[in-house]
Amino acid sequence: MGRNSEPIVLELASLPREQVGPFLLLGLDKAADKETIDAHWAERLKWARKGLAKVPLEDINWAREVISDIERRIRADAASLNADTTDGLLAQFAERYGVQEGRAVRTWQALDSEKALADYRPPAEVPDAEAVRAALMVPEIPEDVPAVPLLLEQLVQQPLDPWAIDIRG
Amino acid sequence: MPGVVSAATPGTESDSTRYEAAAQLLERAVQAGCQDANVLYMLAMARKRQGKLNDARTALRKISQSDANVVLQMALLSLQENQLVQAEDELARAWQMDPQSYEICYNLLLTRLTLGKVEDCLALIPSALELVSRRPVKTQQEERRFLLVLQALLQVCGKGDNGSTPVVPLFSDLSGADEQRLLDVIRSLGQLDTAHMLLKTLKDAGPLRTATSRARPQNISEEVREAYLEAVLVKAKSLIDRCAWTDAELLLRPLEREKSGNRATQLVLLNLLGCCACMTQDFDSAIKHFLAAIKLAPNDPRLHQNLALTYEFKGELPQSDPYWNRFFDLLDDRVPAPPEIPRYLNHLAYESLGRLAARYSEKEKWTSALNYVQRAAHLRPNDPDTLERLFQLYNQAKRQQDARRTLEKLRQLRPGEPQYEMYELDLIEVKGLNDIEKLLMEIDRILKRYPNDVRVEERAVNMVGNVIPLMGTLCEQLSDQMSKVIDQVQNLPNYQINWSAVREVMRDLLREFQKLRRITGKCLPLVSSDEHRRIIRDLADHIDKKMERCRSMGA
Repeated sequence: MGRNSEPIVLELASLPREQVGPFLLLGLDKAADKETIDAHWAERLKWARKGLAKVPLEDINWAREVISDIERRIRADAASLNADTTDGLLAQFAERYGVQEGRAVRTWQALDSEKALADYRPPAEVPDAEAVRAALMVPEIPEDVPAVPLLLEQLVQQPLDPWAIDIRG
Repeated sequence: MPGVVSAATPGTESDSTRYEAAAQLLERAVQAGCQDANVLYMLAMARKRQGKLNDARTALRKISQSDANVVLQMALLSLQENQLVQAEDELARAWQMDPQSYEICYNLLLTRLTLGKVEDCLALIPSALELVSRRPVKTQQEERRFLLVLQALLQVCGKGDNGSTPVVPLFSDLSGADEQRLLDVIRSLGQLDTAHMLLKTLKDAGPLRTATSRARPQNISEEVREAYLEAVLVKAKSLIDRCAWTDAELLLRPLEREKSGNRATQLVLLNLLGCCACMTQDFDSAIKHFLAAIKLAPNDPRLHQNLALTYEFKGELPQSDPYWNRFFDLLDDRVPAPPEIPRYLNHLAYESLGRLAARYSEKEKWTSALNYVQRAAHLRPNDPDTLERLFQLYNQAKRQQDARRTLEKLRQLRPGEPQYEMYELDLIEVKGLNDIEKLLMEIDRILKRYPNDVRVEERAVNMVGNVIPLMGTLCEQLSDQMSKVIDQVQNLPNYQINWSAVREVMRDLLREFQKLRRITGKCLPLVSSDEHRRIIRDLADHIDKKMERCRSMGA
């Protein structure tokens, strides 16, 4: 015997996928809805491709196929273990640690400090309205078109919306 | 949009409408050529509040000269996207630009903590403590306290790597509020490894909330112990999710000795240990753990199912029976079911019963199989498939009356079903040559009545296949009788032989052999496999020889 006190771990071969069951393979509760199933499947595909999980890609696809078929799903439910209790205690613990859809996510609130710009005015040059008005050269209106002065007056009195002016064209 | 706030998620619908209106207006200004940094910043904030993180980031990137706040905003977006490494990088840049910002410092601290960078966090805490005076007065004290507690914990973490964990004085007078804040932050990190490490340190560090003794570790608080246990359980589940059963088991095993007072954590622990043991084929351990879990929660159907399945995997089907029965009794609305499948639990009970019946049928335990199919039929009294199985099992169990009654019900459910005529033949008790002859004639009749019906043909082939060994047995019995007579004739002196009786016996035997020969002739066209044909031909040749022998003996 060597001096090393580390225990030797003999890893036995795990059960065939039919006995492990699709729920454990995809890390799903047996009551999972379609959206959750798809999310877990996609996550595990990534894991399998990156070698982060001990499950072959083939088994991941098999598990999703089984769960997507109602009859096969129920049969699989009858024949596979439950990682959580009926009350979902483990799911509650996981939620406390920010685990959502099988992934742990940060839930602490970062401190935000936005600039106070409520009264900010952009430094744009706005011409003086009176000066502009004074600079306008009013053309002489022929006496045979009497409605023109009236129309021009109405036009001038309309409210000015700078955003409505198409400056591109 | 002034002041310091918590980076929040998008607000109400009316807020959302206002943000959209503001964003559109600012967007138009930018499209019109406005490159004002503040306009772009306001656009980014409006988009951020709407939850449009990509648009917000795009607006921030257009700001030609980013200041610390702009980089902070980018970091906050990264945090929302859970891009921790990128957020850390951006916060570090913002911190370089503005080392007087408590918000940047705090966010950087927690981001590094989330990433498990203990030393980097420790280096930041003195700066955060200096800047805490910039916070609103009412929260300053609380913030300072939290930072000091965190500092103490991280110091222990840093030193704990090379041996036992020393006790930091501050820990000895930690208040309940301090502890709760610390636990909340650790739980909110979203990194199971970091949370596990911190909680383990906190648990092992010892004295919490007991200010009497500052030198020696005392009992840790229940909250911390439970938080630690929960963290380990959640981490183990994440390993189980990757099918790393042994790793999960190794992580969980030390908790068995912890003897938590909390029933929920104990229950989850025992169940997970059971699952891991079962998956690594250590069925005895799995049974032990599931039994202990059931002791804690005797009315949890999932635990009963786990135990029943483990007995099955172990090959001890009868031992699983009481747990399956309890599972069926407890299967009610408390059990979660997928929302999109109506009457799920009813289907589950039915399939489970059917599955167990099949398992028992495989082992030819007809009584147990029959019991489960009867219960399945009780759930679906008009399901023909279930009734067919019930009929077959009644037949196997030699309960002819029940089988006949079930067949009647099947005929009512599916009138004119050709297969049921074949089922009728199952009820014939085949004992002698006459029964075999009658059976074969009936099979032939039904086949002619329903030509090209695959299911009828298949069943006919099976039935004929079952008859062939019986024919062989009967032939052997006749041959034995004949051999006995011939032996006696050969061993007795001639004057002691009653030749008329011998001839009489031989004639009887010849008649029987002839009948058997006729049956083989009828059987031959009904079989489909070459193997069966060969057996029947061999049998016919054998019978011919026996018949010849009978004749030679005066038949």
